[in-house]
Amino acid sequence: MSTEAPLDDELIGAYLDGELPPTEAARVRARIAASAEAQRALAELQAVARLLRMAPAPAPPRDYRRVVPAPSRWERAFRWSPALATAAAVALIVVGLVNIVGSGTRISPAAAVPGPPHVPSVALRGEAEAAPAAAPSPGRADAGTSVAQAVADTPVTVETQAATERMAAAPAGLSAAGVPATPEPAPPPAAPDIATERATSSVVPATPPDLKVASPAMETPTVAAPVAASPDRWPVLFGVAGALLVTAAVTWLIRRSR
Amino acid sequence: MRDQAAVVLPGTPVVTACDNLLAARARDGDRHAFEALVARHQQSVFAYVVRLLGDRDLADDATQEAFIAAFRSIDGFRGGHFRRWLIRIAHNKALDQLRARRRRNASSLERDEAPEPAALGPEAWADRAGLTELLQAALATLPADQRATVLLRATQDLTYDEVATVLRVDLGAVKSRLARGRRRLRDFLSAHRELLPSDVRLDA
Repeated sequence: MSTEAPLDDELIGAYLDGELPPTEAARVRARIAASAEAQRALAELQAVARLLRMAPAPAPPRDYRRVVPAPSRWERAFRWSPALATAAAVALIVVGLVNIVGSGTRISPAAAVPGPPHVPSVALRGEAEAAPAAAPSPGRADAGTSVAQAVADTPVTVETQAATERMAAAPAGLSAAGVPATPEPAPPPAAPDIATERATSSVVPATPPDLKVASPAMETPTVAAPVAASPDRWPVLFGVAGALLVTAAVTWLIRRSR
Repeated sequence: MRDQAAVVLPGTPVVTACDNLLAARARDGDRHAFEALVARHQQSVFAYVVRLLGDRDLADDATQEAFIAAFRSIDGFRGGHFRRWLIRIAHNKALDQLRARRRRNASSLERDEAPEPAALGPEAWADRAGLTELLQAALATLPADQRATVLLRATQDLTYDEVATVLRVDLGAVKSRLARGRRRLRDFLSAHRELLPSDVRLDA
């Protein structure tokens, strides 16, 4: 009768556990029925299974819901850090691009100013007609009380005019993402002051169309010299944005691997 | 991929589906969802661990560590069978406890300390609680791997495949451990027939 697998505890156990496919189970059932020894083995296995099931499960000594650690201050702080860092980096890149494009079209007279390596690319934008207007201005910058001040101020006004118009959505995303923690968002807040300052002294901010803004602006004394400042600053911003992106990626990876 | 755990395939038992939905929410940071999972499974996790270890204090520690570990690694639960995933964690934590105890007892050359069944009188088995102790004594005669296999199959209602997954062994190992473990249990029970209620007694 044992032409197949021997009718041992393993097979009888598998039969008892319902682990055999139906046809095999039927065959094993028949074989057990034909063997007194196998019947006893089955009965013993059933008794063991019954004991295992019947013995009351020991009750837990406490409620383990309380052992779940409350999220630590750190965990809470870092829970959204990848999202925040990503949002901040994206916002920075958007602002940076908008500003570069903005400065490229507007302040192309920078070509006249000796220095920044990105000048050629700016010149490529073909704002040739703006260049002559810029020519007189570099010299005049010396007359200003503090050049540094002017350097800091002017690009901002010109740029933010463009920026506020073009990326109406971007500043919203910027503040929503919690970026204020980073130093970069300074330009947007700074802009209003300068804009109003300028509004009192000149006609510049009032004229909306891009091209018109460019040429009158060149005539105001402080405008031209500061152009050099913006190319210095944006690489830093892009560096920060890159670092934030890397941080986000690393945080994300660490969290996943945990 | 993010919501894989929340995907409920047709034919999934309701219990598993609930587990997976709760797990998906827990992964998104919902503490209450995780606590609900703990509430659903702590009984069976503790029961498994305490029988595997034969020691309530060790089992308490192992259960606690298992739930903490599960909480920390809930991101790693990629759907499927939550209880099996959880039991696997608990199993590993229990083995850690077992190893720690072995290290502590290394000098005395003791294997698992089995309560001496002969020292227990028949009155110990008079009620069902006594049955628990008898079972514990019987389980203590098994090597840990057989004990784990028998318990996972009999008290956790896992299929052979699932037991193999939890223990990281193949199907053949599950079958043979099960057979050997049950044989030992049977031998123990027939050696202590007089202690058993009639419905569990092995009739020769």
